[in-house]
Amino acid sequence: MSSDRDSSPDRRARLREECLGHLDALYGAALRMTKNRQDAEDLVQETYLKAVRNLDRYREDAGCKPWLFRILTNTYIDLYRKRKRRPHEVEFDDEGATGIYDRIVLSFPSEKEEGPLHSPGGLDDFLHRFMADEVKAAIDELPDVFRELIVLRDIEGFSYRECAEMLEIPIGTVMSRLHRGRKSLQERLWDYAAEKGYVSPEEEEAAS
Amino acid sequence: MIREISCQEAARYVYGYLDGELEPRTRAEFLQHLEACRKCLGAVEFERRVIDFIRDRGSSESPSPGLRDRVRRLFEAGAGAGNGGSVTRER
Ligand SMILES: [Zn+2]
Repeated sequence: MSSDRDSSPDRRARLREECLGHLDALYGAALRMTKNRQDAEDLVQETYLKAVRNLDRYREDAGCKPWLFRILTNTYIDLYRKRKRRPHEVEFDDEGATGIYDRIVLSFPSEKEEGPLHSPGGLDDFLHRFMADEVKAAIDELPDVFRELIVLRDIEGFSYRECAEMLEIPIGTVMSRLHRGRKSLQERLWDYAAEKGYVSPEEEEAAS
Repeated sequence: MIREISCQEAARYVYGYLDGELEPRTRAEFLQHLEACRKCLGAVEFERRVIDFIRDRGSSESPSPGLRDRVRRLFEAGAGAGNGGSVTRER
């Protein structure tokens, strides 16, 4: 695009509005990553500061959302999560992380009789008892490396490749962390539901 | 002719399928398995609904009103940065 490095006032004003349009999403991601409102605001402000400084070099082809999120993720890793080597990170384990599908099927007999596709009631009943704050709390409890991917992929919808580039990890690692993060999040929600009485003791027993 | 895959193999492709990240051939094998296997189809539908649910419940945060103003000011300060505005230039 010929206007990529154009620094005309029109372009700047247009980019400003485009970038500001992602403020809530950036803040939401920053809050899930840092788990603290003040840190999240600082992180977002730092992100925009870097964006403004580099506005003339920004290429518009891909839109500014991936660009802003890349700055956010890098800044977050540098400031809040020191890059660490994790030599002992356990590799993708089929049997270790099973999620809760089997438990749901066992706990809600209608799911078993009619099949989950034909009885949305069972699973939906389970899920819809959760308030947004409870789900966010469950996400916040995940280890950093899982939480980041739940935010970038499940909430923000970035591709595996985009996630890999932002976090500077191989795509295979994105896949295994996402898998384990999702299963682990399901299990946390289940435990939370049992604690809160969202699933009755009988349901819990049937499932164990 | 599409290769037949086991439930165990299909289970490894569930997230790749839902994320739109399977190779075309793997996707075809996976879809063929789903047509014949109600159990895996149920699992896919379950995972899809949970992911949608997480997206729905896990998003939507509102920053304090002051943040938007501060960010807007960064752009205004940045507009003059070329000739030494209040934002420090890199390099
Ligand atoms: Zn199957």
